[in-house]
Amino acid sequence: MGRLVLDKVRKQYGDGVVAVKGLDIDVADGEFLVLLGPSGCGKTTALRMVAGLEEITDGTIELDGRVLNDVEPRARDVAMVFQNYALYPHMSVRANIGFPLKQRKLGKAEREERIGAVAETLGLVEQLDKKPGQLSGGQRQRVAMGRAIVREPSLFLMDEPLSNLDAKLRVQMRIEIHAVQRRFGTTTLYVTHDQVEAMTLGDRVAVMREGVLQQIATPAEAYGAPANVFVATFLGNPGMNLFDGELEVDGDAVAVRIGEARVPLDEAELRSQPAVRARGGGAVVVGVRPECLVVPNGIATDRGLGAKVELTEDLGSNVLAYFSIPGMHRTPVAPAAVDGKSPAAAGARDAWALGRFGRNIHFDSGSSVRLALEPGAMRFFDPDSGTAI
Amino acid sequence: MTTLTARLPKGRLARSHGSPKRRRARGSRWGYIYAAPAVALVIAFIGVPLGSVIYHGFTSWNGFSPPRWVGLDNFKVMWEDPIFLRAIRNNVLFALSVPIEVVGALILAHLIHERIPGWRFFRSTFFLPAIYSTVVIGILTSVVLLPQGPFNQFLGDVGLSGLQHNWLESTGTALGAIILVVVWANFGYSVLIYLAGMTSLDPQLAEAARLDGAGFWKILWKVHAPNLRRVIELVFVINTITAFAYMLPYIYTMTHGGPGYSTFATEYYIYETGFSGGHLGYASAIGVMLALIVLVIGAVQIRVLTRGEK
Amino acid sequence: MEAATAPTARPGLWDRMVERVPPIHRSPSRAAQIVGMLLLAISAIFPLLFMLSGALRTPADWNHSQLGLPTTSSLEAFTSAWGSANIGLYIRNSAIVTTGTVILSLIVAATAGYAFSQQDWRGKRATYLFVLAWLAVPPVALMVPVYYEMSSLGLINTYWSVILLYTALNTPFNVYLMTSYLRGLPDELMEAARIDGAGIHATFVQVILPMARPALATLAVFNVLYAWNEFVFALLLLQTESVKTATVGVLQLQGRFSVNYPVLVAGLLLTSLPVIGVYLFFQRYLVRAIVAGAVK
Repeated sequence: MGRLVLDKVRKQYGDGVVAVKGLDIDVADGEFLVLLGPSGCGKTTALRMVAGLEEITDGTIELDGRVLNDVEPRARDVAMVFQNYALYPHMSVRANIGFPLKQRKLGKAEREERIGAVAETLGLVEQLDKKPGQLSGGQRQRVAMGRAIVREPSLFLMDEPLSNLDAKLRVQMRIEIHAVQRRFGTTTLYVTHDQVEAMTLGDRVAVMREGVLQQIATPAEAYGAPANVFVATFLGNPGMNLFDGELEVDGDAVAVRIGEARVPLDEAELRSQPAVRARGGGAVVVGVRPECLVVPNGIATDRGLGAKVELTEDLGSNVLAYFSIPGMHRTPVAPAAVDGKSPAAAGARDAWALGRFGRNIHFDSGSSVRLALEPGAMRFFDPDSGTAI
Repeated sequence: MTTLTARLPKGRLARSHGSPKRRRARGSRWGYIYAAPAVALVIAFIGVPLGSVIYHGFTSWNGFSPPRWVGLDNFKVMWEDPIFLRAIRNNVLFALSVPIEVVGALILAHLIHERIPGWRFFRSTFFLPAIYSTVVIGILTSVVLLPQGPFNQFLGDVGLSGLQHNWLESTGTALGAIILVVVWANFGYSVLIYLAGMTSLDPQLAEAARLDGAGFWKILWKVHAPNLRRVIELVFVINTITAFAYMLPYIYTMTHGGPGYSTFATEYYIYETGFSGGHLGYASAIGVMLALIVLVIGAVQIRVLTRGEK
Repeated sequence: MEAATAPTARPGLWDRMVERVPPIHRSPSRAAQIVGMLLLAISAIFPLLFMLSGALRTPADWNHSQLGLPTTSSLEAFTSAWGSANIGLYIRNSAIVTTGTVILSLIVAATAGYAFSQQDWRGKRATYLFVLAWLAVPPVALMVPVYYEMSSLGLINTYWSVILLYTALNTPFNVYLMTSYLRGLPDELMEAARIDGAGIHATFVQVILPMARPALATLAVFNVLYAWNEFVFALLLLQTESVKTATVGVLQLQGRFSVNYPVLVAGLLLTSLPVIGVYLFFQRYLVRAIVAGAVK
């Protein structure tokens, strides 16, 4: 059991800074929900309010219908895994894992049994009598997990648990966390700024920015149909290309002018974004994922863009190419509407389109190429608000 | 984070939740209780005596009959009391050794910091004098400086019998002997404070200076000393306060303030007036004066030494 | 000792080259510097050697010469200092006073440090500054009222008088050191304990105290040295023979009409040995206290 409901949760600090602005999230029992966002977006504060480590300024947090606002952290039936693991350095692994049980005054025999079972699950049996200082990073991470699991809580809270591990170990532990959560079926709230973790772990992802929830959806939805330009550029590495476009509606035919090119919308795009046709015309922001820019290879297409290759980066597994598109302007989205580091706000490169191609494609810098848009590739955003149309 | 939340106005919390936070309330109560022993002790055995010494400083009191309020009389008498003035003067003379110690210990610390051969040994042994009890140091010095004692014997052995002297019972040398002993007893402490401060120095500064051809002294004065301002200031204050308020064990064991009043100090006067003379009101007034002097030394030195900083 | 001059890592070939040819080591004044340092070091060790050689002498040998190796050697001075001169009793008293002071100081500092570093309560900062402010009061200024306060509490000539006073006098520094140490512990540990179900007391006993061990050791050494060596208040408050501490007790060996110097220095040596032992074995903890005090 563990349904977590955040209702209009707000956090204002004494100095007036509002870290979380009216957060509404409903996490189903057994769900793995990832809170994702850049640093300072309020995701950690939200998690800490659920844990009881921060006071809730306004709104309520409920776990299985019980309001947690005034409940002591230890009485909330939640377990937390910290970024730095927060293992008690003076205690053995056994004592660390057993600490929550000892606080619950469980008998020694039962404690030992449960510690043993957890150690078995996490492969820590050999390490039980060691101190945290003698363990590797991955082992410490497992002990921290063990300390959370052993209590069999209604809710796991994880605060960037993988960020202190090196890249290889991070992948391995990510898989282990996933497996453990599936195995115990415990509702999990997981905070990260790493979108790969979010995409791979989350049943749903809640993207936050400056204390405001931007979108809560499955990873595929959030990636494929971002709710606004922030989500569009924050998710994906690199993020979505944003072009300055002009919508042209002529009867049934809907097209968008991007620079000198005129690209008709296809069935999928019109179906998934019916409001586009209803707009009847005018300026829009067109979003295209880098991998949706393709080289037509001689196949005729009416969804083409003329582009000039400016720069390529060979990543080994694939190639990133930066293009300038004749007549295309800097996307008109105000910088405030997207993350400060996004391409749209970052100067000269903004006028470029970015494509991701297979590693056997070769571009000559300075050459002109013709690119095509994959079916359903275009997402449309309102240029003023930045929200999806 | 917690300190931030602590500043939340209580009213707003109460409004938004109807009841005050249980967590905060619990933290409050236990915070007071955990801090209580420390607070109680300092109030009982520093605060209460301080209040008492201030009050009794304005009274005439012999310890038996009730104290009689005399206003500022004790303090007026003090400034015409030749013994008190002599004691203060001696404290000032003791304090004259402070610059020697401040500079000397800095040089020693710099040598150790530069890893002079044997620096570990020096670092350990230099602190030994600060470990010996002040009483042990005082008694030992008085033994060593006896008229027929080891020091005079040593002078005789090396053919300097002309210098033999009754060191602690001559007006000319007793004060100097005490000053030397105190400097000796405290230099290791000062060295350690400097070494502690030097850990925060950027070693690249000294290395860069060395590559530029700066020598030992130049590195010490031009590179390190400016960055050690606060530590130098601390050594200054600690040693000056020692000269005013921590001399009693040395004087008690070496000279009892004599010969005459030549090594008499303010602390010793409090002890004598209060416990041998029975003038407890007056002794209290001197105590107040001493506390004020120490306070002023601390404040003035910190002001003077931090004046250049913006 | 490492904390005082912890070697700074100096990677890189360039740095190592500099290290190998430090111009300073070739300076002709280096020899003079070492000689000067050696003389100081010898002066620091001299009292120990002097006390040891003096205590091994017979009175006749002492009268003949006080420097150099003793021509006779006898432990008589030690036995009479320990026994008939009561140094054994004084040392026992010092041990009681020191133990009491250290235990009480550690309890007071640990609880207050916990309250000031890890808990939220109204007036915390003001109370912290209030406790620290007493550092500015020179204890000797309080001789008269402390004596009368202890006497009205009926504590004169009891160990409690100095134990309470010493603890109080050192509380500002002890609390300062403890609080800054505990502030340096990661908040996450305390938060983890809260979530794991530990209450305020359980967190203190099971998490804070074990983690504060280095700071507790530092304070223990610092307070042992203070309590053992304190003189002025021991002189005032412990006047009967049965409770006198060593620093006051040894004075009587000096004060008697004709001084038996070997016995006197034997008494001084016996008085000094415990603290010298503590210093030699626990140097690094003491240094940490000074570092903490200096870098505030």
